[in-house]
Amino acid sequence: MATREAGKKMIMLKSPDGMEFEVEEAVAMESQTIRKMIEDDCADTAILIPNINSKILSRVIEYCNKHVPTTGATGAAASDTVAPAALAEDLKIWDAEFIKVNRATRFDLIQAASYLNIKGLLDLTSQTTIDTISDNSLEEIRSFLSTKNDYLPEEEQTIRRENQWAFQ
Amino acid sequence: MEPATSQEGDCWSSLPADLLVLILKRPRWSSHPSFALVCKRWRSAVSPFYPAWITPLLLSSSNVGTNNVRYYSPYYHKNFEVADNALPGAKIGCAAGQHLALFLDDHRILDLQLTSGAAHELPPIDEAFNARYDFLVYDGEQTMYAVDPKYGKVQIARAIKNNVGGWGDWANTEFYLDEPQIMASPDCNPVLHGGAMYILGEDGRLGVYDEEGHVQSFQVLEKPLSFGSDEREEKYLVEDDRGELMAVLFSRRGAPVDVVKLDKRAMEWKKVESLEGRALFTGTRTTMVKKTDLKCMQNKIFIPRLHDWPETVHVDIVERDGELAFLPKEGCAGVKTGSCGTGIWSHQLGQHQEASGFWGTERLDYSIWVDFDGAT
Repeated sequence: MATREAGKKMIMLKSPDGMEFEVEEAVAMESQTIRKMIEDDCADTAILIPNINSKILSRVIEYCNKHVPTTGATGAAASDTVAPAALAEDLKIWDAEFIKVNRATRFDLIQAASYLNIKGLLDLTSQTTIDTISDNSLEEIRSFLSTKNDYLPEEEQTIRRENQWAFQ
Repeated sequence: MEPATSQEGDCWSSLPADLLVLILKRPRWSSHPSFALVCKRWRSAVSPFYPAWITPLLLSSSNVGTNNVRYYSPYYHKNFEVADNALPGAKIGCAAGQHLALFLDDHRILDLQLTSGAAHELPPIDEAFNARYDFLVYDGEQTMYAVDPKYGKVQIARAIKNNVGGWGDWANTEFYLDEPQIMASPDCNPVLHGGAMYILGEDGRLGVYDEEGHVQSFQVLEKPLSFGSDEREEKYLVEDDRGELMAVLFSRRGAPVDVVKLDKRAMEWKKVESLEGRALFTGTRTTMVKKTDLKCMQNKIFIPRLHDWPETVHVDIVERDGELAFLPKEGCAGVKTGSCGTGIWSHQLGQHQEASGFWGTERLDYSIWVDFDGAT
């Protein structure tokens, strides 16, 4: 239910496991998916977020809370005095802490960021994943992803030959 | 990395395809082949591309219909044509990193950033200098030199880049030479080496231009006196990755080809027997020596002569994490295995080679070697 509290419009988000989260509209609109729902007037009652459990949803809201632009918000005088560069640096440090989660949680966060269309969170989660696997051997990557090698030896040889420059 | 635990299952391999594509768009190009080897799903999510940094590329501009920039890759034996990246109809002066300097006419020079297409025309060179500049030298950062090396009188004009990316006015200095004088080799640009600029003489002598603060000097060195071998048709000067000054010498029929190195103690050219894991790209105004892991290219000298006309692939240039790649436009066939230098004339150093192969080749005119490896 959309309510008003201290002059800010509030939105109710519901996870499939029955938890409800009341968040400022501006925070919820960090998600382009929710923004569209609100703009299309489909958000009079609580918005049900399918496939994202309360544990992940609360982390996503935590991320959006931190990343919602403070400019234009009422009572944000304190942050006005902080230089933008310092603010960006602060966010980077915060992001780095935020993403220190286990593989499964990070996987859920990628999917949530993708479904909710939150660009910053999707960038953060995918980049962290790529950084994690980039410098590892093939076997380590497969083990990290719990993926089986489904190539025939000949097929693998073909790929190696086509990319000879990379496998010298 | 923490290993997968059983309760986490194989969630990562079930990542939706569109999300996988999105994630695999991020890493640097050189890691893509490894990702393609992970499993079939990952391979299908990796876009086909041609790495643009693994060897120098031969830039040329065709005047047939369009002036689009083409990059010939000796590794793939293909021409990569970049749309909307036209070269003005101008003489190529020199290449440095991702920059190309062009003579629009005798007095106007253009600094072109190849990947962005950003062009800065330098202020016109004052006609009162009364010089005909044969050579352009760009340090890749902030200084451009135009060089007129007439026998007995050398003129060097210098322009410096300002803070906002534009160029300042040219300043010209004249040097009247007593003996010895220098007849510059017409095929190659002077080379920046150890803070000075070296001009290669036809006879093997070296002219050196130096700047000490505001004082410029030019002298033809007493030594070396000659290349120490028979007369050669074409000569190119280059500084290699170890800071050695080298020259490449071609006979009239292509072979034999010799590489000589300046022995600084004796000030003599000494023959080089091996490039030690390097490849040498020459035959244009710019010559370069590159260390390479590609065994098929090591110890070889490449010049812009092709055995047959290469296929043209229409591409976009895309940078990821400092690496440049050519992405085939839609509708083009997938990436093929490289021919690894067999489509272009090359000479393996230290091997006897028949000249016949040389004459069967077609010279790629108006071309210059450019290097996109780590270049900005």
